[in-house]
Amino acid sequence: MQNKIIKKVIKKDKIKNWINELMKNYKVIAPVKEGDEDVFFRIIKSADDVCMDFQNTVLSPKEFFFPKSEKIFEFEGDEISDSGSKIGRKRILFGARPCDVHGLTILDNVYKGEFNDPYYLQRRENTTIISLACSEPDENCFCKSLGTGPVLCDADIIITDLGDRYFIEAKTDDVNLVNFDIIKEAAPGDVELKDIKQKESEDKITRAIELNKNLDDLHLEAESRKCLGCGCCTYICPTCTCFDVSDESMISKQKGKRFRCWDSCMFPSFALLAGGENTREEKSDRFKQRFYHKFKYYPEKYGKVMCVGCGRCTRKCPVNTDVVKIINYNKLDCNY
Amino acid sequence: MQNPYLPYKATIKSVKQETPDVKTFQLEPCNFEYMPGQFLELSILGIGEAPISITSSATRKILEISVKLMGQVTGALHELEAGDSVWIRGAYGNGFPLERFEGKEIVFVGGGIGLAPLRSLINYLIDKKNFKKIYILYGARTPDDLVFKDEFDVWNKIKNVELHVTVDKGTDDWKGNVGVVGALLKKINIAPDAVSVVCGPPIMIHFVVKDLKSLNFSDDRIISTMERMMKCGIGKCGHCNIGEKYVCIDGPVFTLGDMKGNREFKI
Repeated sequence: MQNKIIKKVIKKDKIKNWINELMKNYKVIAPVKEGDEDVFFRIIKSADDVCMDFQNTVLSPKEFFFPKSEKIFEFEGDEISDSGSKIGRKRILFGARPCDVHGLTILDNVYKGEFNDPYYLQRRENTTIISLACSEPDENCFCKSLGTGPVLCDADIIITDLGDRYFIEAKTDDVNLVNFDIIKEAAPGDVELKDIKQKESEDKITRAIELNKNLDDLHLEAESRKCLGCGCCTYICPTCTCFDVSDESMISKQKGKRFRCWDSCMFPSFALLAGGENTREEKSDRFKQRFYHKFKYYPEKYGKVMCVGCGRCTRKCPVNTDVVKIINYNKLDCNY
Repeated sequence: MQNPYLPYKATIKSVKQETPDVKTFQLEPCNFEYMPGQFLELSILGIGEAPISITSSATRKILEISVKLMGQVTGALHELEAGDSVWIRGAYGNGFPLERFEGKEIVFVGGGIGLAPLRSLINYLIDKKNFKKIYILYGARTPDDLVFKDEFDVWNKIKNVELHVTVDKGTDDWKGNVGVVGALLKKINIAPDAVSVVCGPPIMIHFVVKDLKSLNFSDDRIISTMERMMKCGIGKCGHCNIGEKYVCIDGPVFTLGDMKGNREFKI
C-alpha cells in the first residue's frame, strides 16, 4: 500500500494557492528568477516569487542539503559546542528537476555508510521533494541515458505540465500535501495526456552518454590541456561531494569555529601533503581524477555512475569541455 | 544522530623530545579504543585538524602519538606542554591485518618517523607473544633523527626480537651501520613465509619494496601504510582518494597486492 501512487491535477492558476498552503506548515525551497533569465533555488517568502517556467536552475538544489559552507562546531576557550547539526523546520523542495533529484540519491550513497554525515542526512530526512518534470529539455541534457529522464525520478511527488494544468503523482505517504480543494482527482484523459507529454519530452532528449566505457588516459591527457582548472564543473555539479575543513578563529585563538566548504579535485592544493609532496601535481592528473571518480570508481562501489546528465558542466565550462564527448570518445575518431 | 565530526578533549600527559623535530605525546583519556595501524584525527582548536598515526599499543593502556613538525597543526602541537588540551576523534582506518602475523616471522622496515605506526604493531605483537620472530630494521638520516632510541635496548633484550639500525650519514661518535635501510635485509636470515611491514618516506618504500621482491616476498606479504592528503577521516571529503580506494576507510594499511593495478599507485 505504501507505494501506491495518487494521481491528481491542479489548474496552473492555482499553483500559488497550493504553495501558500504548503508554506503554512513547511519551509519551502523553490525556483526563483533573478535577473532576466537565471533561476536559482531560494527559501521563498511568498508564493509569488516562484518561477515555474525555466529549463533548469543555474545551480542544483544540492546546496540546501550540502551547503557551500557550513559550521561544524564553535569553540570558546577549552570547550566546543555542537551548533551545526540542529534539525530545523520541515522543508519542501519544490520544483526540482528529475536529474537533480537523481543527484541527491547519488549524494546519499556517499554521506551514508559506516559513518553517517548528520548534517546532510538530517536535512535530507527533513525534506519532502516535489519534482517538476521537464517539458523542454536543453540540447545538452542526457539524463535518459543515466536511468532517469525528464519525468522519472525518485521524488516524493512529481508534477507534469499538461498545458493549462499540472498532473500530480504523489506517494500515499505524502497524501496530506495534495489534499486540498484546489487539487482534483485526475480523469483518465489526464493520465493519457501525461503519458503523451512524457513521451514527447523524452523524445526531445537526443544526447546519450555511453556507459561502461573504458577511459582512455591518452585522450584525457589531451583534453586536459585546454582545461583552466577553474573548478566550475565541480562547483555546479549536482553530484560532487568533496569538501575542505578549516578552522577560523579570532587572533587570540580563544574563540572561533570549524567549518567545511565545497572543495574541488581540480585545484592543485587538493592532494597536497603537509610535507610538500603533491600526489596530483599535474593538471592532467586532476582532470583525469574527475572522470575516473565519476565514471569508474563510484560505479564500481555503488553500481551507477556519478553523473545525472543535467549538462551543467558542458554548458558552463569556459573552454567547452564536454563530458559526453569525452566519455563517448572513440579512438578511431582521433588522430593521436 | 551521532556526529562523527565532533572531537573530544584529551589532555597531554607527557611530552618527549625524540629528535630535533619529532615529539612523542602521551594523551589522556587512554580508554580510547584502537588497534595497531589505525590513526586519529588530532585537532588544535583554531588551527585545524590532521590525521596522525597512533604509535602506542592498546595492550599497554596508553595512547601515544609521535609527531614530526611539518605543517600548521603539527607546528601548533609542538608548542604544547604536559597539561594542555588537544581534541581527538577516531580511531580510524583498517589497521594492520593481525591474523597475518600469528606464528610468523615479521620483518619491519622503517624509515625516519615511519617507525611510529610500526611501533604500535611491534609492541602489540610483543605483548601478545604470538609470533615466531620479529626483525626491526630501522634507518634515519642521522643518529639525531632516530626516534624511540630509549626503546632500542628494551626490544633487543626480548627473545626473538632482533633490531638493526642504520643512518644515511653518521657522526664521529656513531659506531653503528651507515647506509640505506634496505641494506640491513642482508644482515638477517628470513624464513620463506615471513611477512614484511614497511613504512617510511616514498623514496625509501620504493627501494625497500624492490629489495623485498628480490628476496622473493610475494605481493601479499609486503604490507605498508599509505599517506594522502586527508580531511574528514571517514570517507566523505574525497581528499585521500587513491584510485578506487580511500586511504581513510579502506586503508591506511594495504598490501602491495591490494595496490597493484591501482592507476594512482606509484612506487
